Parts: sequence; C-alpha cells; structure tokens
Amino acid sequence: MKLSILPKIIIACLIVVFILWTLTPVLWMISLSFKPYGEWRTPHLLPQKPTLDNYRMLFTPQALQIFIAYTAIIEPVTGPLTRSLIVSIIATLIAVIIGFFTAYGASRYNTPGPFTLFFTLLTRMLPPATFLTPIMVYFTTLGLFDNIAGLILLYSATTITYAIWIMKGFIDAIPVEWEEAALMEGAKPIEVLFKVVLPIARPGLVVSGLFIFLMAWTELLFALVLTNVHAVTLPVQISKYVTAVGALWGTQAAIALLGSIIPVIIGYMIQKHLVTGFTFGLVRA
Amino acid sequence: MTFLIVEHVSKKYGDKTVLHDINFEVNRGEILAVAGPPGAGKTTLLKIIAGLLTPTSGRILLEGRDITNTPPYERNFSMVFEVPPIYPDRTGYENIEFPLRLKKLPVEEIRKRVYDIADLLGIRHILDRKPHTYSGGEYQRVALARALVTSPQILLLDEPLKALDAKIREEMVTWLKDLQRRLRVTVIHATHDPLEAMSIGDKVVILLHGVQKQLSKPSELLNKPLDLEVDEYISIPALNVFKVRIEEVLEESAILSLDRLKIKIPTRISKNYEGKEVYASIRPIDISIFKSEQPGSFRGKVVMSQYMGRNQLVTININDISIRAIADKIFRIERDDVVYLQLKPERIRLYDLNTLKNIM
Amino acid sequence: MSRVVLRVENIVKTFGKTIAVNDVSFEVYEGELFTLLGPSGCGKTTTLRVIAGLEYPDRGRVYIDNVDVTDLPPRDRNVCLVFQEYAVFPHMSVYDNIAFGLKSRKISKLDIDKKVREVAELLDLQKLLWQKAGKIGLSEQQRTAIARCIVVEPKLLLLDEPLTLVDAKIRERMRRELRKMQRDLGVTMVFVTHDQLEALMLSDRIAIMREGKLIQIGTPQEIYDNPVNLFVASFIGSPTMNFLEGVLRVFEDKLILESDVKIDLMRGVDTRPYNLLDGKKVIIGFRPEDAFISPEGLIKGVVQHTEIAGDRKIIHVKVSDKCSIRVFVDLYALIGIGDVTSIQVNPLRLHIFDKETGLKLLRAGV
Repeated sequence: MKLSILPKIIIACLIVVFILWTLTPVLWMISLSFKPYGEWRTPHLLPQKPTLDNYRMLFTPQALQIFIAYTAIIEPVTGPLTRSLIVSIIATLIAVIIGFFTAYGASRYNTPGPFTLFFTLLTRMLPPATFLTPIMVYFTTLGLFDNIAGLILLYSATTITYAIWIMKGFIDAIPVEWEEAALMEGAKPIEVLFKVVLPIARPGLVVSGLFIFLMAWTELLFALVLTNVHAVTLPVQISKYVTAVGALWGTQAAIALLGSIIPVIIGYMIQKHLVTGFTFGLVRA
Repeated sequence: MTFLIVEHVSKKYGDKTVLHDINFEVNRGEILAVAGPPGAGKTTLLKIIAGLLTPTSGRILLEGRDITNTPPYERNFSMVFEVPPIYPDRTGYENIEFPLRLKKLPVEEIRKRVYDIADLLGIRHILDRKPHTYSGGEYQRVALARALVTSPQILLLDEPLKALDAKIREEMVTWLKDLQRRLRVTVIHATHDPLEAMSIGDKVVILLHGVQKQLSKPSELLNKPLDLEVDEYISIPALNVFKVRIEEVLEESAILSLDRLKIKIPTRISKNYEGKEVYASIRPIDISIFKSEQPGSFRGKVVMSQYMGRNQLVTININDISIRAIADKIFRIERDDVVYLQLKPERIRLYDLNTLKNIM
Repeated sequence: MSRVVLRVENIVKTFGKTIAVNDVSFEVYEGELFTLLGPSGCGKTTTLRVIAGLEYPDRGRVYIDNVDVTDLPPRDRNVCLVFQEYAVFPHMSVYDNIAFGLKSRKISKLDIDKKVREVAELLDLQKLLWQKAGKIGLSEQQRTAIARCIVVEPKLLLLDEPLTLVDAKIRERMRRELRKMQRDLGVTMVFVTHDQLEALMLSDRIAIMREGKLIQIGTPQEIYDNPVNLFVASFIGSPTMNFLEGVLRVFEDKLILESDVKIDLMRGVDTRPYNLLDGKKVIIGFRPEDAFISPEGLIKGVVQHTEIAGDRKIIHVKVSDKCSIRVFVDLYALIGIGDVTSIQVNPLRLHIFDKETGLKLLRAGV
C-alpha cells in the first residue's frame, strides 16, 4: 500500500502547526527578556528598542525599585542559581546512585513477602500537595526548614522511584548470562556490577539522571513552602517577580530564560552517553 | 588422576528435584557430551560444575581437590552460554580481551594472547569489527575465543550450536573437534540433539528429567541403551516400539511372537521372561522393505515416504500402528502401496514392561 | 496437470542498500508443498512476506489463482501465514484461538462451532480444545496455529521456519506429522527453511535461494542428484559432498585430475563425453555414499580418522596435502586410522563443476 501525496501534505501541515504551538511561548519569552520596561505589555513579537537592562537588573535587585517600591527579591540571581544547581545535582546523584543499586537488586532477585517494588510507586499516587503539611511539620522539627539539605533530601526521596523504574528496565534487558560469564571470566561480583552491568546500563543512568535533574530544577510547590530566605531556589526566585502590586515581565523573562538554558546545556553535553548502539539479540547474517 | 569428578550431585529447588544423583568422571583432554531434551537439567548441571550454582548435595572434585564451594571466578573454567556474552558496543578484539583485562595482564601480553587465539580460530580478520556485522558462525567463534583466551582448565559449552543454521552446525561440529584436538582442552558440551552429542563426544551422558540414565561411549550407547527411554531419546528417526510375547527362552536366543509371526533373536535373557510380555524396539534403519512377501515378514500399507537424500524414510501402517523404516532411494514407494517388512533379528532390543530396563 | 495457485513474477525487494530479493519468479501448483530453502539472509523469508502482503515489492507482481494481488493487503489475499514462533494467543483456549479468524467474518456462532470442531478433529486437537494455548506442548501449539489458518480456508498456507526453534527430537516427529497433514488435507503450502534435510523430506519441489537470487528449482531428487552449481552441491546433502580441485585431463580410456597429485577418476570408461573438458580448471564433486573402498580403487590415500554415522561409518581419507575425502563404509569394516586404502568412485555419480563460475559442466550419469 503506497501513500499518495495528499495525506503527506496534511501530515506536514499538522507538524508545522504543532511546532508553532510549542515554540511560540518560548520565542515570546526570549523576546520579552530583551524588551525595555515600556514595551513589556506590547503585542509586538520583536522588541523595537532591545536592551540588556533586564539581565543587568537580575544582579542588582535594588534597581527593581524603580518599577515597584517593595519586592520580595532581596538577592541577585547568583544566589538562587547556585543553590538550585547544588540541590538539583546532589539530589540527582543520590537518586541515581541509590536507584541503580536498588534497580539491580529488584531486577536480579525476587524479594519475598509483601514489600514489592510496587510500593515505591505509592509516593507518586497522591497529589503532592497532600504531603505539604506533614513534610512541613517534619522539616521544622528536624531543623530542615529553609535549609538546602532539606530540599536535597526531599527531592531525592521523591524522584528515586523514577530512577529505579527506568534503570530496572535497562538492567532487565541485560541477559543474566552475561554476568554469569563475567563471573566465570574471573570477575568478582562487585566487579561484575561495575564492569559489566554499569557500562551497559549507562544510558539508563543518563536518562533517569536527566529526568530527575529536570524535576528537581523546576520544582516549585515544596520549594515555596519550605524555603524562606536562606534556601531560596531559582523557581522560587522567579515566582517573586510577580508581586502583589504588579508583575515585572521583562526581568522575569530574563531570569526564566537563564533557568531554562542550564538544563539544555547539560543535556547537550551528555547526549552522546545516551546513544550506545543498543543492539541485543543474536545476529544471523 | 582423573581430571574432574562429579560425585553424587543433586539439586533441589524446594520440593522440586532438578538433578538427581549425578555421577561421572572426565579425563583430561576429553570431550564429554551431555545430552538431554530441554528441561532435563543440562544447564543446571553445567552451572554447578562452573560454580554459578551450588549443589544441594554432592561434590565436584578437580584433580582430587574439592572445589564444590570455590566461587566461579577462582576456578579457571570457561563457559559459553546459549546467549554468549558478546558486548554489542565493543569490537571483537575488545570483547575477547575482556577476561584478560579483568586479570590486569600487561597490554602486550593481552595483545599476543588475543591474536594467537584469533589466528587459531580463524577470526583475525574480523577483530576490528563490531558484533552486529558478524555472521552466526563468526559470532560463535568470537564467543569461543573469549572463552579460550584465558587457557581454561575446562571449557563448558551450553548448547553453543543451537542458534546456527543446520549446515553451519555440521561444519562447526567437525571444526570444534579439530580445535579441541589441537588445544587439548577438556570440554563438556551440552546439547539437546542426541546425534550431535554422539558425533562430538568421546563419552556421552544421557540426562532425562534430571536423572543420569547412561554414561557410555557413543558406539556402546547405540548398541546397548540401558533403558527404553534412552533408546527412544537417541534414535533419530524415531524408534519403533511394540509389545511382544517371549514364547521361549533358549541358551543363546529367544523366540518372540508379534502378531502371528515368530521371530528368533540371538540373545541371552533370564528364563523368568518366558511367557511374559515385554517391549521390543528396533530402529528404522534395521527394517527392510520388500514389495513381495518374504519369510517372516509383516504386511503393511504405506502412509508416506520422505526423501532424505541418501535414502528415504517410509511410514507404514500395520494394524493401526505406525512403523518407520528406511528404504533405498531407488525404490519407488507410493502412498497406499502394500509392502512387506522384515526386522533384522540381531537388531531388536528387549525391555522389561514395568521397569523399562534393557533385559539383554 | 495441476492448477497454478501461486505465481510470483520478477520480485525485487531492497532494504536501503541491500537487495534482499533479486528478481525471483516461480509457480506453485495446487496441493503442493513448495519450499524456499537457503542459508540465513538469502531472502527466503522476505519473499514469503511479499507473498503474504506484509512487504511491498519494489518491482514484480504476485498472482494468486491468476488474480494480481500485489496491491492488496494481507487480509484480502486469502492466504495465511504461520510465524516462526507460532503466535498463538497464550491466554486464550485452543478453541478460541482457532475460532479467532472466523469471528471477524459474518458467520453464525453455530457455523463457527462446526468448522472449529472439524478442523480440530483433522489436526488431532479435539481433546485440547478447552486448554489454554500457552500451556500445551510445542507440537500442539503449532497445530493450533495451523488450525487457525486452515479454518478460514485460505488458498495458500505460508509457514516461516516453523521448526527452527524446536529441539531435535520433536522436530523429527513434526516433520512427519506436518507432511502427513499437508497431504491428507491437500493444502497448498509454501514453506521456508534453512535446513536442507527438512526441505528434502517435506517438499514436492524446492527452490534454493542464495543472496536474494533463485539458484535452482526442482524436486528433492533432482536437486540432490543434479545440483546446478557448486553452491547447491555443497549445500544439499549431509555429509557434505567431497570436492577436489584441479585440471581435468581426458585420455582415451581414463580421466585424471591434476591437483597437487595426479588423481585417477575413471578407467576403462568411454571418455568421449568429457572430451571438451580436457585441460579445464574444474572442481570434481562426489558424495560420500557414491564412493566405496575397493581393491581396484583408483584413488589411494591414508585414513585420517573414522566416525560413526548411524548404521555406517565415515572414514576421512587423505589423498594428498590438498585433497581429503570422506567415504561411507560398513559399520564393521576392519579399517582404522593410518591404514592405506583405495577408493572407487561411481562414475555415474561424478559431478564436474567449472572452477571459475561454479556451474555444472556435465550432468552426472553421462
């Protein structure tokens, strides 16, 4: 059955529409970040007098006072930016590392009793907001309120589920015989884990790592509630640009753009690790 | 000293006994074939010998030393699984050198050993390529190279030829035997194909549902299967089995009655069997087909004939029993033809009706 | 003369840069079991899939019952394909599996029941009708898959290496059962396999393929006794045919092959038919069963080793550094390693192939 021309044109049109639909908000945000105050509320796509002021003002929050008298923005963007990086990276590392070992165990061994892997999904079954109050209480009692350690702990605990499930899939795809063969070839069990399983499951680590990093990086709800002054992360900082008396669109676009670029850069740098030529199965020429 | 001894090895999983009192010895430089249908326990047995599983009871002895509890990475055996560990993202060379790198040997030593084994196996020219470019035969040879590069004491092969084309399988059996002769490595080769086991093994172990039924040289296996199950298992094309009554037991022979015919076969069996019913078995190759009646022949109707190249396999119906016989290919045999079958008396084997053991 | 049920005309199919099927044409007659045979990757499965309608050929047409079906989807072609892994639905009963194809057509429940029971009876599945298909044996699963196909009464039954994944003992039994069933039902079948013995045992006719091309079509006997080239000669027959390479010298009453040594092939025979081949670079072929030990044997050599092959023995004889042959001998023949022996080849069974092209130069038996 061959496809005639007409369906192909329709499909091409649909794809174009979809691309426009997805990209337009991003394009708007980029242009907004270069627009001066007067143009923040105009409908033009391109700024008529492009300026870098918005970006400068990220570093000097006092300058915002020319727009709005009082804001909650009390520090330059470097603070929240570094804190977000630290929290996201460390939470990702914890989730991925512990997740890897758990996934390996879940894949290779059958656990007796009722504590199946299914339980790890429970944290994701209720709306996160239901956990707000209990977590808030725990954190204040434990002194983790307004503390990046608290955020790290929370993020790694809630995202480890994804790490386990993604990596278990990759590990399941490795034939057990390969590990047994490595044992025969002289590798001790721990060597088997690091020299056989890890290299082959590496795409799984990278995929889950990226996924978890993104979740931690963009997390707003708990960060808003659990931080005050000392542990403010980037999403919280961005939210502050919409104040009670007005929104600072341009600067907000600028900081948002900064926050969006970082994951893109990280993703680009590690993309080659995602492709390892996964071809399992015997080949019969 | 016998190289490897498997002593009273059993393996149970809960209530299920997977291996039941396995006993055999392997001499240095020998090929032992382990044959059995899928599920018989061959892989479990091989893994116990490899050290990947521990037996529920029994011991494995290497040159007199008890190695039952030595972990696999200290045994210096190699195992090639049905799905060999060839990593797809590395070249042939990198795959073969893997076990040597685990041992942290110097690079020059590794290079020499890999090239030596590659030359021996005739795969030097494909070392630079990735596995997905290999043919089935090349793939298996790289897997073998990886197993042999560590100069193992024993090479364990778990159905290594299963995934190969029939023609290539044939070539590989010859090639493997040749290789083994040159390297003088001790091999244990597991397969589901009894014919493969008998062509490749110096000795053959027949494993049926976890029980070691027989351990013999291939020729002995064919001439004297110890019980009916073994006889049925090793016969390809399928064995003919029917009930007969032993009319008379004489000193050097016995007279059987089948249908209305009496056959005298040369054998020594116990007088207790006189008058009793037993199973008789005969292979298709030992039945002759005639177009006209012969003394002592059975009459039957041809169901079909299948060409096999050198001869043909004929399926005949006698009183609703299906009999298979091999005929010369010149014979024109058509469906519904009437033919007369003569059984070679010296090739009939008798088995006890209840125990299924060979009574000859 | 039988009716032509399937005609395949000049099929070409490429995947990227690889030509999987290269100008393949053949006909299949009613009630025939036609086999596509060849090593892995030769294009036989792709050809089968083109016939089924799962692949669209780049060029060429497929005719079923003289109707051009090339542009029709599989379900409109009235053919049925049994896959390598049988593809029975494991959680459904055998009955439901067989009834599956019928349910989508507008047939009454009573009729469906009748048909399913008929086919189940034919394939000896009556006792298993209510078992879950995943729990029955492999042979029964295959019969269920076939039953599922037969019940919709297709013009053609296509089977893609159905016995490849099965172990040796069961495979042997299924070869007999499959052939018997095919003949009893009179179903026209196209069968794909890489196993030459299987092809010989099952088929009415065989088409040998290699690297996408059709090499030879014929009955099993024709292909076995008269391979058209070196490839077919070496592929068909187990153990493989013996090959000796050299220059052929034709004398008045003898035929000699000049290899690294001079090998006497025939004496006292009328060699006129071979005259044109004098001086040609050839490859001589003869099967192990067409040579025998004889005191008058012309080929002399030393026994390298012996092996048991069922009811006979095979001896490997080294004739020279480059020439080694295998010969069948009696199981009880008193011959052992190191013995010097002389071999005689049946002159009617000597094949001569051109060294360059591999093509048969002279039909054996001339």
